[in-house]
Amino acid sequence: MGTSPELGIVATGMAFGERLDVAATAADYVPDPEAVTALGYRTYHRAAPGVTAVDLAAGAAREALENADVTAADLDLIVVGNSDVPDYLGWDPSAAVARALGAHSTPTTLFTQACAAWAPALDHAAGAMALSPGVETALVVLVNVMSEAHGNRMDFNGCVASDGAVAAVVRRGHPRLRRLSSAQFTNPEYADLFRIEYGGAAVPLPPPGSGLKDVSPMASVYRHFDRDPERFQAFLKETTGRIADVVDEALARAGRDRSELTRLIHINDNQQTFRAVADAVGMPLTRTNAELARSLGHMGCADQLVCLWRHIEAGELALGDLVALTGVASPGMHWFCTLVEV
Amino acid sequence: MAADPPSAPVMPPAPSEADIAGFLVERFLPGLDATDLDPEYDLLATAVIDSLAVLHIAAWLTDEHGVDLPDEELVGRNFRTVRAIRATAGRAVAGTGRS
Repeated sequence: MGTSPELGIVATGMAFGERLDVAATAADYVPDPEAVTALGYRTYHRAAPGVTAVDLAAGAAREALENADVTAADLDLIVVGNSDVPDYLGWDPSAAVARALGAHSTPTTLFTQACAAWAPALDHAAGAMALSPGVETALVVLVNVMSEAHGNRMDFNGCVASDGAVAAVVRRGHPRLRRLSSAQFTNPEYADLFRIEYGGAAVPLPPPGSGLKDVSPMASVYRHFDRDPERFQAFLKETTGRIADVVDEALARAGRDRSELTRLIHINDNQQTFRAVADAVGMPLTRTNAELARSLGHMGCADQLVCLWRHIEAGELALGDLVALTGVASPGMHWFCTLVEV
Repeated sequence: MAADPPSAPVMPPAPSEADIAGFLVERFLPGLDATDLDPEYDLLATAVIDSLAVLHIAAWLTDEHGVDLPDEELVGRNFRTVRAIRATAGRAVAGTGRS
């Protein structure tokens, strides 16, 4: 049993829905496909009918276990981040993933912090290793499968939502891809933004004649700010400014500074947001995952780890490089940063 | 003395395309002559209009022309061109929504 609470990523696995062309399919989702293509995405992934988030998560997890040469029986903890609407209410996808893997006695935990669930999921694994000497190996699984019954993947926070999962086997004291620190900021003023209006306990069903998707997310946001352009502009400024804040806080906790950052990996947002985030952090756009985002689409909390691995596979990261993995999660809203040393 | 019969509410006219072009140029396209802005020029595809600009235009319609857009009209496609903005304002004046 080890005593170091530091963990490193041993191996990953991934599973995606079918890859589709944005320009060829946008008209299936919105009446103005040009507005979608202007976001900068070229392709995205869509799970086939009947393929669930747990299916993709389990597929990614099996690949990660195989790549790490461990079995489900070797796992001391399974942590799942699930960005979108789960298959059922009152149901725990983390337990369903464990069952699919045959991990019949491994503790599991679920995180639902939308697009940034990756950060608390990894933090939880690190926390478990810090608190419990017996926790040596953990599996962190991040998945996003857009419920098209509840939302429109091409009219969604300025992103094209994409279906995919990534899993990482993490081990105490592993010397590569070490988690150095993290930071989070939550602004509860925005707790109601981008919520799904119908289906929860408050309003279980939409009004007669209405559908689950009849409430425009952006109209709700505008209403929150009383349609005041100045307040909305301040909100936009905050969404990117807070990214820089959490990056700096994570760096400070690790005793590092911005000049040491090799790469910024943000959620797979649209290109305009990438430019704003890169500017806020002082990182050239070419040292972000902006290009990967174009072809992957926004896979919720899976974005950061998928892109981290793609950059490694492409030879764009070297041993010792310092990477900030950032996200904005809504509902919340939460801003996250995890610092990883390659 | 008999009371005057109630008069029908007076609806404000929707602003003209020239009015809209003038505002857009002043706010988002400085240096351009408003008469040079094609009413079908795609303001979204060229990134002249974004989610913040939608609110600026909606506020201008309310403050300067008394035209209140319903929530469901506040989507980018209704602000794609000068002509689209004119149609959006026209629907609000007429009380017929379509987003």
